[in-house]
Order: sequence, then structure tokens, then C-alpha cells
Amino acid sequence: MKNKIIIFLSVIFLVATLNFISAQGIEYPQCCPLANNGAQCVAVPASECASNFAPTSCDSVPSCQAGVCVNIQSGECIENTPKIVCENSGGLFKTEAIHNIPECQRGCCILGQDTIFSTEIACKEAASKEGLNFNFREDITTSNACLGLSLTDEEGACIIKTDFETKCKRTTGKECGAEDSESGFVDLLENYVSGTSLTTEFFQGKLCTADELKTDCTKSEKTTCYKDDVYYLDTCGNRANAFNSAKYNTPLNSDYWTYIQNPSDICAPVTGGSSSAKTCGNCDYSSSTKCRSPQAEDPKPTNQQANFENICGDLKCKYKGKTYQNTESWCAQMSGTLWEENGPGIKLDLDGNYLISKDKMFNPEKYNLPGSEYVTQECYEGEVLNVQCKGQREQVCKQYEQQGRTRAVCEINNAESCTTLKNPTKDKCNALDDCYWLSGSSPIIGGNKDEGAVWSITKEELEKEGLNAGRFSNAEREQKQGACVPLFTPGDEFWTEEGQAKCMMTQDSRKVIYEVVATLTEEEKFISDSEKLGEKWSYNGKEEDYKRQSRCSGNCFAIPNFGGKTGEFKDGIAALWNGEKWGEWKSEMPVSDRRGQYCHKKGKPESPKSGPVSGNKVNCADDDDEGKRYNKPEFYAHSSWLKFIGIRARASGDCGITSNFLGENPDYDSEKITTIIKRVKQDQTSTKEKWKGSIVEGVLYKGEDLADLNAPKFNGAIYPGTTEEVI
Amino acid sequence: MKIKRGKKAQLTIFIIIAIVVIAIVALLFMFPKLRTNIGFEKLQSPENFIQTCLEDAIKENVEMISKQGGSLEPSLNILYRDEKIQYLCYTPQKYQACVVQIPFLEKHIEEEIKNSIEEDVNFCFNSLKQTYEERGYAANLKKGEIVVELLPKKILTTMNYEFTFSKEEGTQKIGTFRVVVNNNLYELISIAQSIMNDEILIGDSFEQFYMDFYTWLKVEKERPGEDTTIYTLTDRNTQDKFKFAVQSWSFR
Repeated sequence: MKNKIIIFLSVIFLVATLNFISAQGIEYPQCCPLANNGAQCVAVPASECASNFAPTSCDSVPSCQAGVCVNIQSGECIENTPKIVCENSGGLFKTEAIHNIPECQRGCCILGQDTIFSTEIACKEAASKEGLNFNFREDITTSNACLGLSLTDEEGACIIKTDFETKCKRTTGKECGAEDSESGFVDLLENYVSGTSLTTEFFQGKLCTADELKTDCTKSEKTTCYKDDVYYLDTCGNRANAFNSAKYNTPLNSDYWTYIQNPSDICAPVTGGSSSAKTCGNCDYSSSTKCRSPQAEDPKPTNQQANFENICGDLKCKYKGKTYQNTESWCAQMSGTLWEENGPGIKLDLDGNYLISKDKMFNPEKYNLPGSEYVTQECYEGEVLNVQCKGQREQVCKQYEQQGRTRAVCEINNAESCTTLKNPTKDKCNALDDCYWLSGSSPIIGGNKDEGAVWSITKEELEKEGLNAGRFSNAEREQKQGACVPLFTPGDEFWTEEGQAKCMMTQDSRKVIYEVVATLTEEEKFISDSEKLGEKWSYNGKEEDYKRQSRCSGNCFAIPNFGGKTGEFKDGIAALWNGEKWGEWKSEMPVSDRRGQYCHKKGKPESPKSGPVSGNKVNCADDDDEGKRYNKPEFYAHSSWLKFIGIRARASGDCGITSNFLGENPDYDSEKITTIIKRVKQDQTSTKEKWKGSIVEGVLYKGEDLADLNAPKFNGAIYPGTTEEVI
Repeated sequence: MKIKRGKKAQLTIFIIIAIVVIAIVALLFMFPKLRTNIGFEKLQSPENFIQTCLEDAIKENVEMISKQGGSLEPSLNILYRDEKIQYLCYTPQKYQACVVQIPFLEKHIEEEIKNSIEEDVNFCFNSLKQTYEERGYAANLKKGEIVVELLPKKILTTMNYEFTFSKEEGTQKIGTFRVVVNNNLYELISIAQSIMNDEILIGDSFEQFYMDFYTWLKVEKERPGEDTTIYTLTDRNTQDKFKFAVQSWSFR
């Protein structure tokens, strides 16, 4: 090319929608022992503090220091309690970690047939309250092990005898033999005379109905609910075995009426909706059955007294045409979320791996819209409970699936991890559950247009990363060229001052370096025309007035016509960048046939300079023949670039113009893309006297122009009604 | 004629009897205390009298305290659906665990219930004294301490009031009155404490875990905006409820 002027334009786009800076709600440490709203030891401004405001964190205010609050009487130990709150409640304040406080060590408290995992003091307190003896096992250090102990006391028939009568009670051997049980047994006796002798005898594993015990207790058709199962009651009101209508008529000397049997040995577990509920009382909570009074939809049990009917009730839930098992949960269909009707959802296996590709889940124009929120729905005993996840997508509903059963959980949307990722790469980003690597090759952008980018990096960083200063390999490009954005767009309070400030703070800048062809004559004419008409950086869009861009005079600005309005020249540009011939290229097209590049001085990658391309090599004129060049642009087409930054903005928060979950558009002014156009020489200094050394900013797109990123409305290089300004 | 006169006389007697009966019934309705005084109604024992008199008041106050996070007048609260709900743990800061506002919930609630029923207790004891006096007893009342205890499956209110009543047949003295109200608040607040610990640790809780473990329990979680979570714990069998608010670990 005759004109070998190389133009470096750095276009810095301020996208007032990105969420890359986490705005802290409170910037300065502050502590208020008593706030106007009654809160104690919280960080609120002095204006909201009722007394003793301190401009320091609460950890530094002795009365507000948080620690463990111990109730010496009850044995309760409460963590994260401010000193003043603890002492005002009569507690003993301790700063040690809870596991180092002897009074707070928990063990297994055995109280009668029950166990509580508690401190020893709490155990004593509970025993005292319930009037029971206690046994504290400090060697048992888990609640599960403690719970297991409660099941070990075997039951049997306790025969209580006086001179006048004999009664039977189903209980544990311990209770039967316990001295203090006597008073409880007295109530069973009809003719007990205080002070007369009373003896007990225990028959472990036996029922009071056992023929051999010769008690007054015999079988009855009455039933009761116990631990979720249906049991027969004997005529004395004791539990017999789990209900099995087929065994009712067996004689009293049969095993069924003699020995305590496990419900699972009596009949197969009853599953929800099964007809076996009519005959069997071995309910199974995990199979959606539990003992209860029969409801309209339940079958009528056989062989039970009409007034005392109990049944393994069906706990399943029917909701929106689907049937869910008891305790099963799922994510609700909520508009604007990934769980809207026909949405892909956020489904995972039990190992926490997504069952849906991130490419399918990522669509900030469709999912996670402003105002949308996630809700889990849970089936509990026939009732569907809604549990809202935290608002503004602070939590999202993730559904774990296995063998047709689902478990939905509101999980924290760790959006911040995406934007705070240091030295982001595609692999590092995608390894984060809640992040997505957005690049030109992402399906939502269009795919396979990512051909390289200028990546701002310092010399030190280059060396640290071991990167080639001038070039990236294709593998490096794939890893580096893109942005790590939240997979689930978090919300912002864009309607508040704080939210607006946060939006304003969420800036992103991006340099695009490119070159265009221009002859000296064309350049002069262009500048002359521009100055005459007061138009600059025109666009090949509408009338003749806008065509100067496509003439592509020297130092003209390729943005927004970079690579053509809609990327119509992208293939040609790609060919050029790849060192191939672009046959259809004409000089009026907004690109040169040179490979966009610039060289740098030997050992000084920070000192770029120009040089021509010859074949696949770059001639850097007086350079060291290393042929160093900066990388290819990330996007050949303006459209894909614009879409990229638009999508990235929308993925990052609610500051943008994305329609809300009801399909309503907020104030379009809430999102605008402005550019800072810096016309620079190769050495980054301004080429135009007027702007020498300055950076000029002008609005390119605003508000509803970007409602449809596939067809943005372009209004000229400078947005009508706005002017470029030196910043 | 004799016969006719006899019939008239009979009729008159019947009418007089009817009027007397109606008058007595009317009087009994108008002055209920007469029913006990003249022996139509058995005089309740002092213990039963107090149980009957206080039970509803305790239930009402417990219900009110339970739906307000354990406080009769919640100090730090959120107004949600016209109800003030106490924050048990709170922070206005982002990225911070909440700090406990009411460390010993059981003790606090016991105290709140006690304060809420004090007037009712005095009213009931005064009524007791008055009732016994109206029935001809010499009655004496010495006020004492009121202790409310949350126990498994029940709330026990013990009043160390000394009530002495005497008639010709002798004198009786009762030094302690106990009123038992069946309620699962003890269990519910124990779970509330666990949920509060979860909130301190992770800013959320796994309500499904609690419902799976305690199959009698229903945990409802509402987020009325900002960063507050309101929990409602319900005993499915008794429908006893406990509602409280927490604000912890906000990331917005």
C-alpha cells in the first residue's frame, strides 16, 4: 500500500453496567452499641446511633467485642454475641473459641428413653425440669451417635402387682425397675392404697397381650400412631405390634400378640398411594407414608375400629400435573429465571456437576432478568412449601437429581468470584461453578469469531506469566481472549443512589488497535470534510454524509465501522489477518491489506513502532527482525464486538437495560455504552493538534439503541444531542 | 263443685310453682355467683380455679410472643404483614455474620411470658379469694413469686402465692399453684437457636434438613426484601408456631 500510515486508535469503552468492582455498603469502620432501631453493636452511621458511636470496628470496642456467651445455669453457649448483650442477659462472656470452653463441651445426655446432645449443665437442667435421672456421656461427641443411644433401651411388658390387682404396661426394663417409676404406675392401678406394697416384673421383648403373662390386657381393633407407624392398641391402652389386619385374628399365644416385633418384620413398607395401606401399618416416611387419620383420598383401613382409624397416609404431593415424593424438592418455574417454563434449569448430579452445559445456561438477555428470583418448592406431608431464595439472585435454585428424585437447594450465587478472578483464563473461569467464559467464540456472540485481542498487560506481568510479548499462540488466545462473567446475572439496586453509584463504578475499558488504509490525499480530504461539516468519524450507514468512514482516510476511526457495520467484511479481514489474500478487497473498504500489527524495539515491548507485512512475516523496518507484532483483534466485526460488550454488561448485573422478568423495559438511560476515542500515533500520542495529548469521549449508543444487540440502532458516531468531550 | 274448686286450686298452685321456678332460673342467670353460693355449682378447688382462670390468658400471650420472635414488644424488629417480628440475630453490614441480639432465648421468653401474665395472675387470685369469700369462707391471699418454665411439650407456670381458706370444718393452706399449658415452644426455640447458629455461620439454613430430621416440624422461610429472612417454625401436630427474623451475611 502506498499509504503506510498506521493508525492506532485506542477505543476505551465505558460500559456503565459491569459489576467488576464490588462496592462495599460501608466504607469506614464504625460501631454503635445501641442503634436507633434497637440493634446492639452494629455498624451504622453516627446519625443512626443512639449512643456512644465509635468510628472503629466493633471488635475494637470492648463492650461490643463478639465472643461466646455462656449461661452457667442452663449450659447454653451462644457464639458471636457482643459482650454487652451477653452480660445484660446474665451470661458469662468468653473470648475463647467455643471448643476451648469446658462449659460448652457437648456430650450425650440420656434422659429416660430420650437423648439430647447437649452440655453437661444443660443435661442437668433438662433432667431437673423433667424430673428424670440423667446420665451424661462426654465420650459421645456427635449428635448422631447420641441419637443412636436412645434406641438401645429394649422394651417389654412390665407387670405391676399389688395384693388386689395386676396391671401391665409396655415400657423399658429400666423404667419398669426404676424406683421412681412407682409413682407413674400407681395411676394404672384402680384400687391402689397408698403405702401398700407394689411389685414390678419385667418381661423383655414381650407384649402385654401375651397369653403367658395372664394379664387383663387383650387385643383390640383400636390403633394408634407411634413413630410414624400404625400400631394396634391392647385393651389396656398399650401399644401392641404394628398394624397388620391379616394377623389380627391370630391367637393370643401367637408370636404376633406375644413378642414385640420390628414393623419391618410384620409387613412390607407401605409406599405412598399403595393399597397395602389398608392392611399394613409399617409406614415408610421416605416412601411418602406416615401414620395419620385417613383423609378423603386415602383407602379405608380394614380391621380397625371406625372411630380410631389410622393409616399409612399418602404424603406425596401432586403439583402442576406432576407427582412428588414426600421430602422431595424442586425448583419452581419462575419467570425470568433458568427455571421458567421450558427453561434449561440448573440441574446437577449428586457430585455437583452440571447436567446442562454452561453454554445453554448462559443467556443474560433471557434468564436472570431484573426482578426475577428463584424459589424452591418442597413436598412435605402432602403440602407444597415455597421457600424463596435470597433476592436479587444472591442465591439461585440448583436442583440435584438422582434416579428421578430431585433435591432443590438455594445456593449462593458466587458472582463476585468471576470478576475478582486474578489473571483470568478460560479454564480458570470455567472451573468456577458460577462463572462463564465469554469470548467471541461463545455461542451467544455468534461463535468462531474470536481471532485474537489486544490484551493490556505490563512487561512485568508478561514476564511473570511467561508469555510471548508480541504474540499469543492459538491456545493462549483461547485461554486469554474473553471475559469471566457471572453465569447467573446478579441483581443490583440500580434504582437507588447507592446502586447508581455502583453502576457508575462498574466500568470496563478495552483497547482495540487496528489499522486502516489511507492515502495522504484521502486523509487530507477526510479531515477537511470533517472539519467543514463538523462531522467526525462518520459511518457508512445512511446518506453520503456518513460515508467518509468507509473511505477510510488515514487516522480515520474504524469504530463503529470496524470490520463493516454488520461484519460484512469479517471473512476478508480474517483472511488478511491470517496472511492470506483477500481477493475482493478494495481500497475503499475500511481495512488495509496489511496485517494489522505493530512492532516494538528490541527488548522493549512497551515501545511499539510500525512496520510492513510481507507474507507471513512482519518487517519492522529498523528493528531486530524478530517480527514481533501485537495480536489480532478479538473481533473482526463491529456487530460481534458490540454484542460481546452488551452481553458482558448484562451478565454482570442489573444496571443494564435488560427487560425485567415481566417483559417490561426499565429506563433505557440506565444502560449506555459510551466510548472514549483516542486518536493516537503509534507511540500513543495524539495525531490531531486539537486533541493533542487528550482523550476524547463521546456517546455512541445509548439506552434502547441496544435493546436488541443483534440489531443495534446506530445514530451516528456521536449520539444526537451529545457532544464529544475531552476527558 | 268440690271437684271444680279442687282443680282451680291445683291450677293456681301450678302457676305459682311455675312463676317461682322461672324467677329462680332468671336469678341464676342474672347472678351467676348465686349458682355456686347456693350449691348448684360445685366450688372448684383453688388449683383448678387458677388453672381454668389463667390457661387462656397464658395461651394468648404465648401465641402473641411466639409470633413476634419471643418478645412482647420486639426491640429490634421488622414489620411484616402487620406483625412486628423480633430479630434474634442482626447485622446491617454486607459480608458480615449477624451478631446475636437475644442470646438466651428460652430464658428471655420465660421472662416475657411472666411479664405478660402478671396482671392476669393477680386478677385470677383476687377472683379466687372473692369466690371463696362469697361461698362463706374466710380467705386470705399472700402474693409471691411467679416462675415460668418452658419444658418439653409444655409450659409450666408456678406461682408461689399462699392462699388460705377456712370454714367451720377447718383451715386449708396452699403455697404453690401450677398451671400447665401444652405447647411445643421449648422444642421450637431449640430449633430456632440451631437455625440462628447456621445463619451466623453461612447466612442461611437448610430447612429441609430440619424437616427431614424432625418429621413433625414445618419450616417456612420468607424473604420480605432487603436482606432479612423470616422463619416460621410450626409443629404439624399441635400447630404451635414460633416466628423470628434474622439478617446475616448479605452479599448484595
